Amino acid sequence: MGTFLRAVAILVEVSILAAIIYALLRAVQLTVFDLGLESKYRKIVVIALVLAGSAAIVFFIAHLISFYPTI
Amino acid sequence: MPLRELFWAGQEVYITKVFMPIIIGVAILLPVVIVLFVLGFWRHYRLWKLGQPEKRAQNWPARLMTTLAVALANIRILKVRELYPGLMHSLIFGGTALLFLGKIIRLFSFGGLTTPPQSIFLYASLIAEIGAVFILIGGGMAVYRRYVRKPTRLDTEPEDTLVFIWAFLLVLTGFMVKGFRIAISDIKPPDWAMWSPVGYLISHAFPTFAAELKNEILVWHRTLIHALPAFIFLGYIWVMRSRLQHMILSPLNVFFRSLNPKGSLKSIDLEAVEVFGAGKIEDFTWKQLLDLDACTRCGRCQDHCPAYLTEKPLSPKKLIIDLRDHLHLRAPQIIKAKAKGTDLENAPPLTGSVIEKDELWTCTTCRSCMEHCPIFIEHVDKIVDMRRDQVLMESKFPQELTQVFRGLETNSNPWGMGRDTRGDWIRELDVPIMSEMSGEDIDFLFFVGCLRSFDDRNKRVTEAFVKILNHLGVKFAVLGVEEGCCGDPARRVGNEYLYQILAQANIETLDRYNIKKILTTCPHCYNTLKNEYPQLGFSCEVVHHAEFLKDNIRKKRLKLEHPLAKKTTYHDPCYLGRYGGIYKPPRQVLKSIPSLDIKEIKRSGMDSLCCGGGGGWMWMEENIGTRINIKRLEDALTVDPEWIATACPFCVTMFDDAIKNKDMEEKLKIWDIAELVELSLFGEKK
Repeated sequence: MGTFLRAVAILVEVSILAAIIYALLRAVQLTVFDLGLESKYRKIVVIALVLAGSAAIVFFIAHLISFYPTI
Repeated sequence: MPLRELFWAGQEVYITKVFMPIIIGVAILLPVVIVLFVLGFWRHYRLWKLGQPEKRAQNWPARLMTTLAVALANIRILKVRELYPGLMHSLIFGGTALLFLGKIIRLFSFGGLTTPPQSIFLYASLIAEIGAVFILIGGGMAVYRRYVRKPTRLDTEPEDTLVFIWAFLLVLTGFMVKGFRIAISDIKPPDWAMWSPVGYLISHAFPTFAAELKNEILVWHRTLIHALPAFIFLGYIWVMRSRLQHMILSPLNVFFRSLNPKGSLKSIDLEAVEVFGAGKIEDFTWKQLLDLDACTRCGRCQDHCPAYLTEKPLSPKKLIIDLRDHLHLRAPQIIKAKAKGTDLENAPPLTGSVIEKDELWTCTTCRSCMEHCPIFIEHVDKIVDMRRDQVLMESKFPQELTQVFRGLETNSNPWGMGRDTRGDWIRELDVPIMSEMSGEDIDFLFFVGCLRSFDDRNKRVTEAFVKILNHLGVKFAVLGVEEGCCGDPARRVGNEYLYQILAQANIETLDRYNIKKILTTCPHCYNTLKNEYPQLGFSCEVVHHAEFLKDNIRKKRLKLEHPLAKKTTYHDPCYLGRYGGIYKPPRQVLKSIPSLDIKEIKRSGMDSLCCGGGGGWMWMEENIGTRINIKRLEDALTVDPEWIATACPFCVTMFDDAIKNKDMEEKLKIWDIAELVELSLFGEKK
């Protein structure tokens, strides 16, 4: 039961962290184009941000599995 | 003191001991946020600087008072009686203020300003939690409204969604920090529940480590996850031209609002300037460009626009947003060209490329958009400026206006009817004419106006009013053939040159007779004479007949004794209500008529829909969408009236036309309030 609850807690925490990462990276995307970056770079910017976001999520999952308190 | 108690909302004496890492973080990040704010503000400021000069800083105490009232008390939203968005906005704004207050209170402990038990921290905790809950409720209401109810006036951009998600996450992670601190603390429940109710509630959900050091590390992790995105958020909204910048731009726009009379358009010194109106974005004044940047896209203007409501291409909101997008797009090129000292080549004209011609010309100048805008954006002035460019610089305007301009130029009336026939209505009545008087003093000059002089239906109103004046024994006179059009039709369609010629001619005549008090039955003449002639050096007291009749009824000089048992509704003319602020007097006049059963239309007062006759539309063909006068008549029909009363010749004509269009002449009549007073005063004609 404790293992299951720990997994659920980690899932919730990762979801929140993923949402924060999404907000930060989406903000970067909107800002760079608002500052004048030409729209032809949209695709490459999105790819770069998705990669960065994915790397962050993988790190958070690994980090939380390793260090999250036991229940 | 053990670590777990230190975290109990900072019961330690000196904040530096408990929150030192946070203080260091704030000390580093706050200057960064301030720099980003300055950078963000500069991005706007350099755009506004592209505009033409305009004085908007006089009488700053009055400006400041209104700004505070609008920003802090939401009076503009409350004025338009929008409870849901008003409450929603107040909760978000008030919640944010409380949250910041709660955080700032912590500073009071710095350097031992307070003494143990640091109860001020407890208050700060509670205040911040109340603020956060307000934000969640207000934000929830906003999300429900925007994504579930989806009112047509709101458009959602990716940035809007991001702001909702981000703000929610900040509040959520804030509660998580507090909850975890409570979870690892030894303090017993009653205190927690009282000073940190939400944090206490969610504290039960957190697993903790047995080792205190690990708990401390996790607290700082959670604090970082909350505080870093919070600072980035503050930086983001200033660097990105985020909707949330309205926190600064809206109060700024309110502060620099026009303090001129509502109905007065900006005057042009025809001798001094070479460019008339706005053909390019930089032809607008700096305040007009600030207007564009300050728009929050709330859509209240669109909700009340008669052109938009009758399927015409104009939406005041879209017009402002299109101009703003164009400003943002063109500004870098304009700035570059200015730096080089060259003219910008191939600059697209506003009308025809940014704003469609039909958008520009379908505005009736009813001012409903401006009255409903919470931050005083001046839509009509921009539309008239673009019309001025089209008429005076490009000579491009709807063809019907050619006849109107010719008529005004040659005979000083929009139809071009012989000027010598302007006083024909006088023949059978006892009306003194100024030119035939031998220097006798008069109480009022009765300025009749074009519609009340030439239009058969409106001539009956003039006759009724003259009978009332004679009954009262008022010493008055008219100008007769010496009266000319006040110039309103020319000015609203952008022909400032013709307006000034017409106005100067009238001013010359009025000055010659040393006129000090003018009475008129036309709200358009009323507005022009009262609010716009002073720009050309003429000023005197101007009274509309609604006020005049009300005063005389109140003073019992007019005894309305004959009952008129009819179900009647009142239509507010735009130029009397929204322009002149005269809403009550005509209603008081109607209420004083015995047996008159008055029913209010849902859209009345400030919300009244235009009759469709303003802004030059009295003389143009309305070919797109539903006719505005039909729409307004349908509004009136919702209260099933037998009579419709109004106080404007334009409205009388437009309603008369709509009633005929619907074949309702037998069942429904349009009256001016002067005619109803005449009926009640003298009895119905047999």
